[in-house]
Amino acid sequence: MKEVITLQFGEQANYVGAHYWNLMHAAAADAAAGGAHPQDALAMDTLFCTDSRQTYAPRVLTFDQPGSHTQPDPVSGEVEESDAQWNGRDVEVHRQAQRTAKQPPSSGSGSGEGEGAFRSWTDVVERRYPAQSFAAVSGVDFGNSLGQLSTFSEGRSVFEGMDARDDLLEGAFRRYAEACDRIQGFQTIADASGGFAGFGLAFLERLREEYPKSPLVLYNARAEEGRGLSGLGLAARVDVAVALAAALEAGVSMSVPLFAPQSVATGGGSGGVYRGSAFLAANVAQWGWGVVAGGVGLDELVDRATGQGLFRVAETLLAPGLDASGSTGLAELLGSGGGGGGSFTACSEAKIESLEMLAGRLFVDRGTDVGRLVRQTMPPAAAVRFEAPVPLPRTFPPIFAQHVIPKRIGGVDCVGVAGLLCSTSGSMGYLQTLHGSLAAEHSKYLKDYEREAVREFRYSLDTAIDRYSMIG
Amino acid sequence: MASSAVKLANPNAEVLRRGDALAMNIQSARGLQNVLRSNLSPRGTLKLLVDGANQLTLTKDGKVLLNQMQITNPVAVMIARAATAQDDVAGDGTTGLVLLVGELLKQASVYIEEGVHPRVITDGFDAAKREALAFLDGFRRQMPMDREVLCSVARTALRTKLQAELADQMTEAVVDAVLAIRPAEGPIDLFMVEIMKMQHRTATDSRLVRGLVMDHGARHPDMPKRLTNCFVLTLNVSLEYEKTEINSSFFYSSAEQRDKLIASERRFVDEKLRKIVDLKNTVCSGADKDCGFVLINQKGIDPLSLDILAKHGIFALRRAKRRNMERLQLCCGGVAQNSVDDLGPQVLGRAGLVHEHVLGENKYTYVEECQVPKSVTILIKGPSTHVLQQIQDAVRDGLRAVKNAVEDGSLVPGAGAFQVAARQHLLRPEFLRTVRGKAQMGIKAFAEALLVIPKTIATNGGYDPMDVLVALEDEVQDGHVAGIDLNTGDVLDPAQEGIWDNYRVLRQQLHSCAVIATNLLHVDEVMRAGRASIKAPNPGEE
Repeated sequence: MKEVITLQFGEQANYVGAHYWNLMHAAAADAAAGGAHPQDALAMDTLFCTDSRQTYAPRVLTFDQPGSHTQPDPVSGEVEESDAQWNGRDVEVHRQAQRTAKQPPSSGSGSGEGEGAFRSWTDVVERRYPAQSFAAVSGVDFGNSLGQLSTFSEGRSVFEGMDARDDLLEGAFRRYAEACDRIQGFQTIADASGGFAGFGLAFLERLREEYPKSPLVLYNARAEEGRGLSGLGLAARVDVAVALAAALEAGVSMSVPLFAPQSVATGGGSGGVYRGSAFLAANVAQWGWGVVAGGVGLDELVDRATGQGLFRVAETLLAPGLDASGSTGLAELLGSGGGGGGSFTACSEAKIESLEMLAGRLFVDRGTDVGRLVRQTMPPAAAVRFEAPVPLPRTFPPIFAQHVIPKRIGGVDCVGVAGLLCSTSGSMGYLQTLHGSLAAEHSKYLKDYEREAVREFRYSLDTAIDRYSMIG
Repeated sequence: MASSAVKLANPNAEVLRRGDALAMNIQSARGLQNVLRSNLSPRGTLKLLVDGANQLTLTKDGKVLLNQMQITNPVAVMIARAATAQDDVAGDGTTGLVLLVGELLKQASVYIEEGVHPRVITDGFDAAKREALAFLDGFRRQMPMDREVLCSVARTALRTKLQAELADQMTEAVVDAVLAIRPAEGPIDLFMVEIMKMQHRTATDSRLVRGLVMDHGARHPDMPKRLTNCFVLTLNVSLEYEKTEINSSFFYSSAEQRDKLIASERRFVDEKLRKIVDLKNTVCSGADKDCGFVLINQKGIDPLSLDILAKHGIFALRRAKRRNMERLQLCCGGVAQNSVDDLGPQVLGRAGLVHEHVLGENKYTYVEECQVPKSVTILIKGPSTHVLQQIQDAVRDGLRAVKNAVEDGSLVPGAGAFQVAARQHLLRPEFLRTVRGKAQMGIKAFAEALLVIPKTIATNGGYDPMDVLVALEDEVQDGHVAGIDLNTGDVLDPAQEGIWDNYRVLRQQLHSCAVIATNLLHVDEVMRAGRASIKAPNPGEE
């Protein structure tokens, strides 16, 4: 009824998106199989559309460079007898045979070489996307260099060129939009920096013109593991800063930076994009699942997390496998031991130590006792309760290997995950780093922009920093 | 080996020096030429591109190929960009441009290997280009652009991209389309010809519709599906319920109050709808009682409004494309309205027939039988997407060829005739003597390079290029205009056979190829010394 269209821009964002839809499919199949969650409360139509085969397919538009889709190799082995296909009406669950022969490593320890076998994000996707969801963006026509779409402003000019030729909102987007009864909002996963950040932002600006009041959630994804903001070179930081400032100016309702943190690296092996993006996808999946199962609207989510739109850069924090049985309050949990700085891992390297640093919380309880604690000790906290823990699809990488408290629900391995989506004063450090990288002495990286534009970017980051300093 | 000066400044720079740089440039250009060479002419081959998502593209068009291939070589990117510019300006001739650039560099390299400085050669190129352009001005034929001539222009353009039977069939459609949208004076705007693809039936069912076809339908089941003799209202007004920006609360204590609340929320939109319905009732009365009323809105219409419109028998379309707004005004008459105030019968257009056609999951709306349609639609039908795409590319080229012909008012005989004649003109001793010393070599190189087009046409047709060339040169010596006959391998007179090239295509080609070849020959160092790439390397590369 109230549909959400998902947009994905760029290679790293598409990796995150691939894992995200795998998680969504697995969770829905699990619920349909009679898992812990009652069937009727599932509102599959919010995130999924029905394609011609009468199965649910993600309502998603993906943009990437041509040549980034790889062909699935023919499946050499056996085909599973039970086909997977579920619809909301019956409780029948059938599992479809897997198309890709690239099996990611199933064991937890150092299997980095297996992950290098992924040539692109389409190797990770387990279920079919609708045919109209792929859009290839080539930088040769309108880009200003070798067409590699490597900088923010180039992405923007590519979009403007393509839009001037044929209106980019017609075609696949219009087909999705018209098939919806009433669109409640848009969620976007875009690269944090680079050409597709610019392309995605220009697209969102066009979208804003047409839907001026819909909530527009933007996740900035940088999926390489262990390369948080501090691991980037100065040129990349400038791009991230410009992308964030431009997003704030464009009227994005909530922007969530997602950088795969160092502490997620487990075992040996290089990791790379696969593991990082899986972690980030778990962050995004929390809120997506809320929209489907918990009856939370996207606007409600945005309002609570941003404090009615005051703090437009939100953080997601994830505490996988949190065992809350001994704790007495959220505050203690936030500061509790474990891998330094609490069990909650923040994606933008914000350090959250205490409850006072949070404003506008949306909390998800996933099979741990944290929710109960929060409700007992902090009544004003907005808590959205779900009983079902996040189920893992068969090929999910064991990134939580060290933290897993295994639960088997309905024969499916589940991991208890607690998450927070909120605005926190810890973001100030993030914003200040970005603001610093836009300083005048780095002007050689900013030569693509006029001085006016750079001043405006600094100004919007300034106002954001001011607001965050008011928290706590 | 002395290190380049740049390396003193930035030790990490990668540099290709003098001889290497030139050799690399020439090689890249010739590599690109070899890729595209087999596609020229009606007898050229097609290329089947399969991308990662298993989507097929069958094409001969140089620009489409260059866009689909992932090119990373900087020289090739430069040539590809120039080919795109050629396509934007003239609409055709991209393959020829790539061939000419490659051949110019190949001819120049012969002299450069003997020690001639590149600047000498490029001076010769400049002089030759100017003379060739002057010759082109004299060689073209001014003629009145009647339907016959335009048909032969369109046929030539379409036959290079499609099979003969299909090309002949689309010829009429293309020419009629351009003649219909031609304004009394001023340039022709090809956006007024809409191209609609439908995946059904066969390619030979493609046709011209003197009206508009839109790729969406009415969204309400009760709306009439077929209306005759209609009034058409084009609007750009939002008929959707808009959420308020003010935070407000309402308290009600009875069902009547709640109904009043709901009614007052809808009042804003209902007012607008009332004006539209009033207009319909005004015009569809008396003698025009059975006329239909069609509303086409660029913005949205929400379901309740659709209901109201359906109850009054109005056929309403929402979220029409921006371009379709202009086209509708040209098709049906009437004026597009931005607000529902001041609606009157004078803003309405007329159409003879509006009906809806369902094809699988897609609905199409036809607005046909308009009185004087200044905007038309070319319907392309075919069994699969790559066939549709192939025909669409060809039709676009055909439309632009006809437009160029109409706007230029003159045509150039085709089938390689111009190139052979130009070469002979450039090599005549009177001209060579006017150029000083070694620059003559540049002129000779340019003249020989022009021959790549007829040679490629002959090769692609399956004939021996040298034989064909000798025959052509004999004819041209006698002063006739001669081109290649692809059916027999002999010569023919292109003007008689109706094979015409566009004047502006050839002019742009000659100009661009000289400029690009000159730039490439002047390069003596290629360096990659810029800032670190921001884009992270692919995971597979690490």
